[in-house]
Amino acid sequence: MNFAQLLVRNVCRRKLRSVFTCLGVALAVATTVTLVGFSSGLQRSTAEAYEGRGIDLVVVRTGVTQRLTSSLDQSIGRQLRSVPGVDDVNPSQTDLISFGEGSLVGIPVHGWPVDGFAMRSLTITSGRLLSERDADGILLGESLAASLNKRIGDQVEVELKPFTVAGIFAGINVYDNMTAVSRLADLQTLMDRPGEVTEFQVKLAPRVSSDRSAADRVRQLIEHLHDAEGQPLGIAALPARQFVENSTEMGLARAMAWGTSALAMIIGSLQVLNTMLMSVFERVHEIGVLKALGWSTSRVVRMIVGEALAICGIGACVGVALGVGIVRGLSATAWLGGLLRPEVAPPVLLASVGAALVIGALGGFYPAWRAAKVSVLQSLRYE
Amino acid sequence: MNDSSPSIDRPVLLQVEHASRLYPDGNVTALRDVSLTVHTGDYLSIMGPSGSGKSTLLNLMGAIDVPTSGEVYFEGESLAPQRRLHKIRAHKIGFIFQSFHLLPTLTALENVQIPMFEGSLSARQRRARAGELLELVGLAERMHHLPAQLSVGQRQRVAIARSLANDPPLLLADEPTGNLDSRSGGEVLDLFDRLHRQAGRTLVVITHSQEVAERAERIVHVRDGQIVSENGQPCAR
Repeated sequence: MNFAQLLVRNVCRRKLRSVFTCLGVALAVATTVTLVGFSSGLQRSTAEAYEGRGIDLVVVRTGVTQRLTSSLDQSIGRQLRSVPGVDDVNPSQTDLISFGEGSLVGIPVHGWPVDGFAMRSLTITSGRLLSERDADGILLGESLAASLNKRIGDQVEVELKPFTVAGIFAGINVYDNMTAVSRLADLQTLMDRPGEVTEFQVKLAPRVSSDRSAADRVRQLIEHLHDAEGQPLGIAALPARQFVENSTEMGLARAMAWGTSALAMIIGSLQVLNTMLMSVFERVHEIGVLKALGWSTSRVVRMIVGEALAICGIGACVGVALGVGIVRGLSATAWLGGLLRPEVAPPVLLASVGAALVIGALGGFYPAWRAAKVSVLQSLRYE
Repeated sequence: MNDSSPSIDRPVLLQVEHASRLYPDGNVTALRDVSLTVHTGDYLSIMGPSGSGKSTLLNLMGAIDVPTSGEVYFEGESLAPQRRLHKIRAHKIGFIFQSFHLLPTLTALENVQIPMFEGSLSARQRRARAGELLELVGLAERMHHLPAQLSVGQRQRVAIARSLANDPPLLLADEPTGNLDSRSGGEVLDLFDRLHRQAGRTLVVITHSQEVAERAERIVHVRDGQIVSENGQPCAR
């Protein structure tokens, strides 16, 4: 018999209690895997939507991390186009709109120029791209069109104003499939922001795009642009992925995911602490006997912490399997699978298992300390 | 002070010098200025009525407790509280308790291995040694049984095998036959005799029973926290 076998034997003494504690830890881990998976998936999908259209840089107002609150004069676009190394610039206005009488909330609607590279990058599967003649026309992503049950020529209400579906496009990913695109001017009018955009999407020349230092130089040139009066424009040019990662929306999503996960982990830790404390109280006599037989205090501590870690280790494995199952199950549903594709990345799984082992150690530490304090003399009298 | 120890040529294994033990919470003096010497190879029994202090004396000798005043030496080294007493208990002393104190979820073979975790043997070596010890106490056929599947006599023999796990120079037994029927008790005492005569083990046995005590070479009587006689000879006070 080795020490690990002894730990497992002790854990198996109270099978039901150990199983429920394992389940508590498993749920905490599954919560982490699921929430962080969805948060990471949202971030990845958003970044892919930029990169898939060949966007290298996103230009926004300096200090703005929330895409929707950035406001830039559309005329800046001309200056951006003149920067050496810039291949193309697409002014973009984005807003979050509710569709289907409020059944679909927070759907991104982009306002793009009809001749911009972003509009041209769309893969139309039904109907056609918007043209200058399509006033109040709209393009719907495939998932959004399916969710709204709209076809070419149908009308959708955007902020109480009817738009006619001119085309349906295949998005770059599931997130992009749940977006809509209108003419820039139409969206500016609708949102009462004429001549304003939320961001400029910049495509760099191929030789610059593949050279990081050259791209950084272009970024600096953009950020040092001045207006006609010599005043700085106050704009920031960020690589698309960095812009997404630093955005307030993504930060909130990450914070909520990790915050909720941390709460679940704390609850799991308390459950482990409770179980191990009960176990120590039940085994005061036995711990005293072990000490009388020569076991050191550190070995007793290792035994109790080891039992807690064994419970959490098993719980973590079950939790990872459960979390992956939940993520896959939810992704397969129409209402969520069509919205975003969660990401179950190995670092998230490792972090979840690591967190489970940390809560095991934390939950086991106090009971182990109590066990270390057991008096041999008194415990031998205690039967 | 009272020291009942006769002068013997064999080396001193354990020495209790002017040991007293006061329990302040109950304001009870369990031992008063007791001195006792145990030589290597001794078979000593300590007798006395309940509350006489014999278990307290055993606890001091077994490094489970420390005296309020006085000293206990093992192989010449003081068992002072700051020393790592668990090492002494693990390697120098084998305990045999009245209630056996076997771990209920472990088999006889596994119970015997428990003290060996503090040693340097591998898992395979621990298992082999535990098997040999169980064979020594006549339980080779029952080594995979849980304590609940063994008779009380067999349980005590498992406990004796466990006490020998780290090959300690001293065995301390606290009422080893107290929970056994006469036949099982006889078997345990026969085992003690073998361990003493054939293996030269040093044994200290606490008992109420005259019959058990008479198996030993030295019989020490304790009363009111003091040693009052050895082998029928009153001790000087």
